[in-house]
Amino acid sequence: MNKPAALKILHSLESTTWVAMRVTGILLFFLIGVYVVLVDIQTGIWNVDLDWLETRWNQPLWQLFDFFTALLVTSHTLNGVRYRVYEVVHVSPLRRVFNWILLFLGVLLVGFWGWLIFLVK
Amino acid sequence: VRWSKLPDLTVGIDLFDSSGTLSEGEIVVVLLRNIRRINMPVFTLHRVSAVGAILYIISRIFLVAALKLRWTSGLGSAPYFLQITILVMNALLLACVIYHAVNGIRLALADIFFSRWYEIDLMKRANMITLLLTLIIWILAVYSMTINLVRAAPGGA
Repeated sequence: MNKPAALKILHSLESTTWVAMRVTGILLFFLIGVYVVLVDIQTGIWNVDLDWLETRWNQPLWQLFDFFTALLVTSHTLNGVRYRVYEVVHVSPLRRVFNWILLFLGVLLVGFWGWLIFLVK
Repeated sequence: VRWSKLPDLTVGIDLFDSSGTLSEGEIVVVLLRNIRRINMPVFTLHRVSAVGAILYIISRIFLVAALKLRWTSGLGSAPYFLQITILVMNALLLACVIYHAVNGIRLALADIFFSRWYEIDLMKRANMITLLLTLIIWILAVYSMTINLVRAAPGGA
């Protein structure tokens, strides 16, 4: 059986985001998997309170884990939204405006998450 | 590319049995047609589940923010009937998260490592396995969540 030859993919920002979408997706599969098992299955969402949260975030490793997960979730989600926007919006300047809005939203979300994890006592 | 404008190259041609007569462009067209014919419901499900996954994440951000800022003492203090509603909503959102994750892994593996998974038969099989895996993981997760809720109930085990 002949396999099709590998297609040549031009290196551009779009191809980089395409690869990034898959890499972040695979990483998130494990990170969100750990979160769901720990919070939803083992602990139970009903038992999550401030004490549980404080105990978790007193450990730098969990702080980093949660922050890294939030970072990946934000980039994966906003990149997915950007794909959908590109399907609907075909005008370049308007796309650029949406890109800036999404970037601003991303910085805002990651900043909020970082503030919550590392700064709020 | 308009789907309706694509030539019907799949008729009478088995891509992987051909003797390399297809050009790269033709192979792309065949793959796109396979994706369109078989994967359109899956493609739609992936997008719908993405919305559910986003809602799941947002609900968790709200919960953690509310706890950290001392706006609430947690979902355990909510009335029991409300907790059951939350369980149902959580189970639905979790179904979206699990499907999006499992299907995403299938997509990533097919795109990066196993391009043959875009062959029609393998694609159908992979889609079925994805749904089956989602269902199994979801049932186990919902079972555990229900047990947790029963234990947290007033007078529960």
